[in-house]
Amino acid sequence: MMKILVVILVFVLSNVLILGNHLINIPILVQVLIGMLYMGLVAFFTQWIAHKYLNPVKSSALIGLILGVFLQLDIQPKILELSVFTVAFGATFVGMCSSKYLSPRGVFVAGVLYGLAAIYTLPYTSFIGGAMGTLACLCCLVVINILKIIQWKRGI
Amino acid sequence: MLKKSQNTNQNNFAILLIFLTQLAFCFIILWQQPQFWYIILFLVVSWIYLPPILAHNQKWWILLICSFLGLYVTLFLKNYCNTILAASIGTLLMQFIPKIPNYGKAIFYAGAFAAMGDFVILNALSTAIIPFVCATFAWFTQNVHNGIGGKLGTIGFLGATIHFVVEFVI
Repeated sequence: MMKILVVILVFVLSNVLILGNHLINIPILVQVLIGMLYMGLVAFFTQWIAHKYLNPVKSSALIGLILGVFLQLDIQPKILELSVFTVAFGATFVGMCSSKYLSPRGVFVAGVLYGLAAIYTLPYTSFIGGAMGTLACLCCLVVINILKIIQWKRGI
Repeated sequence: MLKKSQNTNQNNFAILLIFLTQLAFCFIILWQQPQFWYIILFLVVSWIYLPPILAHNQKWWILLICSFLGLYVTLFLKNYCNTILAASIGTLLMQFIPKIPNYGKAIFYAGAFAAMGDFVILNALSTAIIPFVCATFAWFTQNVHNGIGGKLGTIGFLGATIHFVVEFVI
């Protein structure tokens, strides 16, 4: 229990220190890259908590709670007018993927892919509930199938 | 042997449903709103390929009640905080309620996702359509894509999309 509290505290502090409201004066391309890496990390972190301490639903909801508190406190870095913490809630769905399908590295890659797709598609779809989850599912399926093709090519 | 082929049919049907839902998502990106014709096509294709119903581990009425609770609690909490906080708080609280099976606790999250949309408000239409669609979709897809991230979101998305189209038509 103590361990998970420390991990969550580190996550919260890194969110505030790294993102905070500092993204505004950075070039768009760098903003997008930071956003993608952040989504990958959130997905990785969610799967790690789900694997070690809680189940995937609790883990995603817990991270969502932290992100929701940030939004409530009006700490919201934005990339292309899209709140990073809102998009990051979708990355927790990527992190709900079982380690049977995706290794932690695979989840990170799926999270990065989700970040890229979300930044450019969510402005058109976010008015419908579940859009982030559907996008997360698509990204997971893409990465799972790419890994399968790579394994098949190598003859594993 | 017959049961095995029926099971395969049912799993293929479930994968078709998930595929069509994700295609609907891609169409929304293109046209920027759910298309009426696509939802009709979706329902017709689903009906044509509907396989024989087999015994399932999950109970449909539990899925229905839990997705309704997810929708209702999130819509209620949305009045007091942002949507992400509303969905997360409701789902975390649900985890502490005893005697509810794990699949019920999971489908609560799908109902919460559906409620996160901007246009969903608490009325008779949303409370009738969204839980029904979510529960039915979850019930059919219970044997496929388990453990793939975003499946619950896809379930919530279909409920929200069909509700959007029905409300738009009415």
